[in-house]
Amino acid sequence: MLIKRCTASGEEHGLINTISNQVADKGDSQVNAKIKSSYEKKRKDDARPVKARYINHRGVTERLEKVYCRYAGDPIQVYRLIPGHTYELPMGFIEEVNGIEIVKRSGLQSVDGQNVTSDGEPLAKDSRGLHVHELVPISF
Amino acid sequence: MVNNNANAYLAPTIQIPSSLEIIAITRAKPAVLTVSVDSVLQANTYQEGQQVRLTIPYGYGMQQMNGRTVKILGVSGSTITVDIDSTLFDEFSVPASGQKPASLAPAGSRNLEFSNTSGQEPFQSLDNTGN
Repeated sequence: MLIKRCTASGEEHGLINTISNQVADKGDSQVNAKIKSSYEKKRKDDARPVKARYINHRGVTERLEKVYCRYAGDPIQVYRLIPGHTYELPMGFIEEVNGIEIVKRSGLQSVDGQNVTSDGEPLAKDSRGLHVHELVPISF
Repeated sequence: MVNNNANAYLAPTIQIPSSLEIIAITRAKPAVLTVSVDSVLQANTYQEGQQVRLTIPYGYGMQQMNGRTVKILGVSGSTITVDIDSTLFDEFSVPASGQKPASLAPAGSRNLEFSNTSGQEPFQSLDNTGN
């Protein structure tokens, strides 16, 4: 039963929608037992709920709206996160968000309006990215 | 040629589901709406899973609910539980006079769902033919 969380101004956040997945989970009958057990362990670990605080490094007025569905057959979940709030999220979702990286491309002076270097000069070559979104677990 | 006035009037029927007047909304998780149902002109035929659109005039407070489409989680008598956490919202109170009523009305096709499996129209009208 999904009850939408709202701010005092009425903005919905957290898990805001769940859509059934039409892609059937065909199972893992073709794989050997060793891979199957590690797959099941990973799937179980990804589904584990973890409390985490959302941080956006661009500012508190930013939002993250992300669709999450990692495995076949799982429901498609739509999340909307507001910086500073704490959410109970699946571990797999947290891994995905913390892995989002905007790569700094060569020849660019800015990425989405943010300078890629402190002096605004273009980069000579591609380099590691900017982490805008971060989920900090506060319980395990 | 048929004259425009040749059509016979249809007998009035209760629209299913009725648009109902809201007389209370709790600030809770989940929010619970209390509706006023006229025993002659209306019926609370809402069911779990349907969606309703809320209209809350300014004088009632709780403007966070105004215009919102919510899903029904449960119906009990004249109370309807919806899928919104209204804990942080403003208070809802019925003003003394001079305001349009706060109301809810069916929203979206879920109110006229047709099941291809069973052929049933669970949210259709009284005799399943549209009347």
